[in-house]
Amino acid sequence: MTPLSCRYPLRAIWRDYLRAVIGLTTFGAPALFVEVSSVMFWLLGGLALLFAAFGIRTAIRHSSRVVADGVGIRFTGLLHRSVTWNGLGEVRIRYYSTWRDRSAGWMQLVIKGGGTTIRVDQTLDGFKALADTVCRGALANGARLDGVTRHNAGAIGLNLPTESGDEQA
Amino acid sequence: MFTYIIHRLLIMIPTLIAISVITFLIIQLPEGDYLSNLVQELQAQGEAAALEKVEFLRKQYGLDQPEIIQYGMWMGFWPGPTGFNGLLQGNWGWAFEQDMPVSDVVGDRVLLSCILNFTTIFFIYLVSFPIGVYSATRQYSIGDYGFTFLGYLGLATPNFLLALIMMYFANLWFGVSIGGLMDPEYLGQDWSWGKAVSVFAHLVAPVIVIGTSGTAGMIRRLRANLLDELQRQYVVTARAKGVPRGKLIMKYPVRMALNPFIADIGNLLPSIVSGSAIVAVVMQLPTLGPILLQALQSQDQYLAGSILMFLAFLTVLGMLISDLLLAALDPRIRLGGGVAK
Repeated sequence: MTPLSCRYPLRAIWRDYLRAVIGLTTFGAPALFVEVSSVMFWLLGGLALLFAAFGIRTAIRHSSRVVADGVGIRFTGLLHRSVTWNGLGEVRIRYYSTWRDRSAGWMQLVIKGGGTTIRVDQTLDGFKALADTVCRGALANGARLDGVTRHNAGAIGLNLPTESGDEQA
Repeated sequence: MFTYIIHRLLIMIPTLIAISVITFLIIQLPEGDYLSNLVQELQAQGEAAALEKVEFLRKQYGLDQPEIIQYGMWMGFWPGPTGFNGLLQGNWGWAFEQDMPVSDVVGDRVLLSCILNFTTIFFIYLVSFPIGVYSATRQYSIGDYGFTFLGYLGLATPNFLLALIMMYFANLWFGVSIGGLMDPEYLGQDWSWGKAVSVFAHLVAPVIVIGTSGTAGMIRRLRANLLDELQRQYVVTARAKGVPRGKLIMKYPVRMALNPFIADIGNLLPSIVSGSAIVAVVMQLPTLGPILLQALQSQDQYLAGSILMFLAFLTVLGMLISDLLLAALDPRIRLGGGVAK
């Protein structure tokens, strides 16, 4: 198997940095002018923390790589996680959109196995190839893909084999 | 999902700002304000001492400032005489008519409004889900016709009229008054177990009155959605393969039919809040509705504005909950939609 190495490039992830900064400023700055005993302090502070966590996660993603090779899938960087092909339990592709007509959204690939979960968003360079490799690896190791995953995989142009081994039309 | 939550929270920021601007503009539309009317009244009576207090309040709340500054001070974006101290900082402003802080005027009413509205939503879902599924799976049966008739009746009857009818018959048949949200001895008292029990006992009538029209509409929507799903090929295939009827219906078509059902949470909340205002007046419920009406009539801008903003926040929160549930329930791309590049 040819190893596949993917990363989040800055051109794809800068919007997430911007979101973290906007959220942190919008909720964190007013929290500084509120008494600590006030409900608003905890509400605004909680939301600011949420955006801070999002910023940290974005930085971790930016500095990490997702590698799929003969052993399994690895998330390398500040937080190291790996799932071996043998231990692969579940693979899901989910679609999220904030628009009413559900357009302009993004896919998320969730890889679970051996008590570890690796989540990658579509902004990852080489997401399609990684999703294809992981889904085929899951099927080869006897894991089932749910209907939603197959539907979403089809939408991004993946032609996955059925559980009987045939390629989908 | 974390990314999705962050995206949705960010959308809430401009939404709430836009709502606050519109709310402020609408409150400012009528000529004059509560203090102007009060000044005229006091001048006519020749009360100079009271006029000084009015002038103090006018300066304190920036009512002598341009409207954009007033808006900034009300929201807490702009510093007033006491620094940044607006809605964002938890200061709801001053209720001029009652001459006390808005937070003291609304007091328990915020909690009681939340309890009433969320119980009503729970009631609507609890009643409409089984009836909707029953009506769709037993289409054109006597039960389906019966529930459909009741549904039309619920949709066609104004809430306040239903409230009046219920109050009349409760008095006529049982000799009890079903107005209010608690027994009179608990009014103005601190929360206790007895008060909570009394509130829940008094919730039954208003929840039925406010929830009836919502239940009727929800049953119709769930029935229509489920009927569409039941005619799909995958249902026929599953039946042909011998999947048990109950398992088949609950696992696939009901799940698909639930999407619009859940999406309605966001729409349900504002309609219940606005619908419950009139019912609250009729049934003498100590919720935010009657105070809001009174504040709008007397142009008490901070009281009205703060209540409207709170209701808007509840609505936006309802939309957020419904969107999160939808994203968890059906994370499929709609073919013909599109993935961001």
